[in-house]
Amino acid sequence: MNVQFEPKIVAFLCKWCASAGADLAGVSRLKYPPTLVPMQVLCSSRIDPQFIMDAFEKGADGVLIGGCHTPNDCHYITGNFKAYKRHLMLQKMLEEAGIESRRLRLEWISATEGRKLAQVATEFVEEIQKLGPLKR
Amino acid sequence: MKHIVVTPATRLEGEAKISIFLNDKGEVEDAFFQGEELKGFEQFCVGRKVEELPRIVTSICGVCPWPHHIASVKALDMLFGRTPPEPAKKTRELGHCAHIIDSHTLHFYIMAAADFLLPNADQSERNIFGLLKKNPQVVKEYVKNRKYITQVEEIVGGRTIHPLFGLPGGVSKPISKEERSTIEKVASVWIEYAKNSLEEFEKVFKKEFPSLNNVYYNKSYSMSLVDQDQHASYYDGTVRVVDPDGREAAKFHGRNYLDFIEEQIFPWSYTKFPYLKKIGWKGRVDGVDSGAYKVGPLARINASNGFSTQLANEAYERMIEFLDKPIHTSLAYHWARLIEVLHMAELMTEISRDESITSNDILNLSGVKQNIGIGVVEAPRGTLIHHYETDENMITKLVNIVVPTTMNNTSINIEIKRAAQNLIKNSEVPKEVINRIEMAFRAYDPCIACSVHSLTGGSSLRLLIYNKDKKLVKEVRP
Amino acid sequence: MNKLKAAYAYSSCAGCDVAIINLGEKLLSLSEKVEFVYWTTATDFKMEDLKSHKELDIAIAAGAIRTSEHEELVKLLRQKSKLLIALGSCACFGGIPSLANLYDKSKLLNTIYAESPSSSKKNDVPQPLTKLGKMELTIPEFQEWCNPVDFAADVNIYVPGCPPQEGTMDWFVNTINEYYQTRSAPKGMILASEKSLCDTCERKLPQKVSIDKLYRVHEIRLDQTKCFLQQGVLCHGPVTRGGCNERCVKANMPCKGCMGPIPTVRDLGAKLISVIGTILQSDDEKQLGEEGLKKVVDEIHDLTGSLYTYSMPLSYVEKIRRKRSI
Repeated sequence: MNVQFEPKIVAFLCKWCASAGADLAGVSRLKYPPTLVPMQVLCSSRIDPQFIMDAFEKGADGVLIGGCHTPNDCHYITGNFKAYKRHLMLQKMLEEAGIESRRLRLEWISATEGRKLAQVATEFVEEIQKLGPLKR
Repeated sequence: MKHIVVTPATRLEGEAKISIFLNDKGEVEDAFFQGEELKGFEQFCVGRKVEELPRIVTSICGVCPWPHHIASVKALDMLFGRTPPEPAKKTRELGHCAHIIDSHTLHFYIMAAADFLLPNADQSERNIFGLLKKNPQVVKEYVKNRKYITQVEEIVGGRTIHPLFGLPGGVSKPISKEERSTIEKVASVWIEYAKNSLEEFEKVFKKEFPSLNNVYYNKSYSMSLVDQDQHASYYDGTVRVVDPDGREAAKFHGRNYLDFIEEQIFPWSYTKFPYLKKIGWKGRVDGVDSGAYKVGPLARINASNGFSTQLANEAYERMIEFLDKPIHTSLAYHWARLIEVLHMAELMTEISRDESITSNDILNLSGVKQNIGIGVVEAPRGTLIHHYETDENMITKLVNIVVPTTMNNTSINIEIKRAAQNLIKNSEVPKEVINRIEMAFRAYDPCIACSVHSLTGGSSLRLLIYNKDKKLVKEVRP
Repeated sequence: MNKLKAAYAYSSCAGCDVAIINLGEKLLSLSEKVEFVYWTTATDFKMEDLKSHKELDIAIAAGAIRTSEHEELVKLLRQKSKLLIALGSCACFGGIPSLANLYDKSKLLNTIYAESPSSSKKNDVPQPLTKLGKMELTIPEFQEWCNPVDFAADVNIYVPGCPPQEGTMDWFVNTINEYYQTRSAPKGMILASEKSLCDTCERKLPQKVSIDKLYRVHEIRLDQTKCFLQQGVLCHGPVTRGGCNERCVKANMPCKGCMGPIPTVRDLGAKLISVIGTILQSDDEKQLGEEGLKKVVDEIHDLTGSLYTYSMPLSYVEKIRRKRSI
């Protein structure tokens, strides 16, 4: 295990909840590793599983998806449920193909949960550090 | 020692080569028929949903995908504890018959016929295109009739090559009334055509036979499925084995195959070497003490009492009158193959006349699941076994497929050596001799992709003669 | 005009050989313009003969590249030939044999030879070189990965399908006839529709679909007129190129994607996961909640094998695994 290894994490965050939560973390000066790169999407259901797989293929060691809490917070009503189902299936596919499914993580983070975002980001980076780079 | 390599084997399905070694006296020390391809079905089918296997295993072979599909779906019937309704069973049988016509005549006309109809042709002409030039009527008539039979395959199986209609407990769609009528018409066309082709071939065979029976023969056990009247049976039946003298040596249900069949492995071929467990492996030799056995059209003639349809059985009677059972002269495989085409046309007629095959009762969804399924059929090339085991979610855990060409592997090796020994004189191996050696395997209509179905790559045939100092002395291009 | 010299290199299962033979009279007409100088299934030309040609017009590769011998042959033919045609799903995308890429080579050999239930106790695993006294026997070595043809050489024409169906084969013949006239080689031409199967399929998907679960094909009686996705059965139609006349669907079985992905899809499996995620219990997501939805997803087995039956090498999961194994 390479202690120097800094995992590259792509975080797809929905505009209404998780991404706003990331802004709040920023404004509150809560630290989380800079190798986690946030990307804003309108809804977690906008995250095409192809984006996630593309991120891994292009070098991401981990991918985080941030959406609104179920059952009622989604701005588009049921987008988060779609993201949830797809997430479960992607994890299944990764395991079947011999890729650690823990490299893909789904979290519900509301706009007021800046602290949670920072915590999740930090924890996730640590976990991926332990797993090692995706490409050995 | 001179090493002769014939690469690749031609006019067969798949990738193989022949290696012949001559000692210092110029005699054949040994000869090997090497299966050179491998894909790995027995491993990569593990983890798959078992009901998807019939659509995967057809890709073992595009020349004979149907028997794989049907044996696979029969294994599923057992796994899911489902009995197909009669119309579904008949539909499967109908497809099986149509395919045997397709596969047997593909072999006969596209691969084998040139050896009989253009015996002295140059290598570049000894093929279907050469036959088209010399004998266009024969080719054009085959092409026309072939189209009819491939249409029947598409009607029944969804696609001609790689059918997909098989489901545990039945089939995916019924046959319409118009389709049934079309199939009946095609069957009657084929009865005529098969009868005529057979009569023509009998004449050619009887003329050529006397000069060839010392070169091509294999006195081995024979195996086939038979019905309760001991007729050759293709969709269902009991496995019957007779010894080289025609005496019954074993009779068992296909599901118990592991008690009777074992496979030897040699590092120089991807194709395994099945043999009869109770007799034992005695090497690449024939005879009553060797567990080597053959399958396919000639073996079916030996292990059965003939055919359940009239014209085919009459043809069978003519054959055994000329050749005496049990028949070990391998070129008779071609004769037996053509009798089977006639038999299949007759069976197709019987089944397609039965209007109940257009019923909508084509799938039985109820049954008690179990975790082991074994399906056995007579494929065009011989007895075929598909054996699957699953976990509680019906996900495949184990796959074992024992394939006819694999079963014939030892016989083919015996015959290649024998033919080489009989035909190579003074280390001279002109092109014609290479083809005559190849005729030894061609009788078996080998399907190398089937025979390996595991993981390997193809082969090729080329004749290179080296002297003791490993210098290339002669190159012979067959 | 001179006849075109064509070499048919090798195939995975010979289904594509039979597809050419099934051209029937069209093949006989074609043989007036095309001379097969190598085709092991139908002619007697040997490897020596193939190598003796300095130039060829057409080379047909109809299998996945499974062994080093296949790779050498593809590269050799690319060098000699004006047109390299990838015939069939194996040559175009890897095909069913490339499901083997889910396992490593030693496990494959072991299962098939050493651990097979019918193998006798004394086991040898096939080797590239065997010495028996003074005799030396060789067989080709198979590679770590099973590859489509374009992993080894540039392809002029892709003819997808397992095997290519009648319409595609007619297109193939027309393309060769055109080449015969123009002698101009296309690059990366694909003989399939740019649109998905759904565009021409008789069964139409309604605007909104909600399915209870993803049914396995043996679990329900498949309706002969309804869209498979509407019935809750996985069908590759939405992400697969058309041109095959939807024969499988017409035989009342779902599409499994043998025509390859439409150009707008980067990973057809990931895209289908998106589709399933949309329609799975879409009317009752809130009632079921995460727990209920998880139960339905847990019943889905072998996603990888089901999604990438014909195109494992094109998948992101395989691309990732290949980078890992370096």
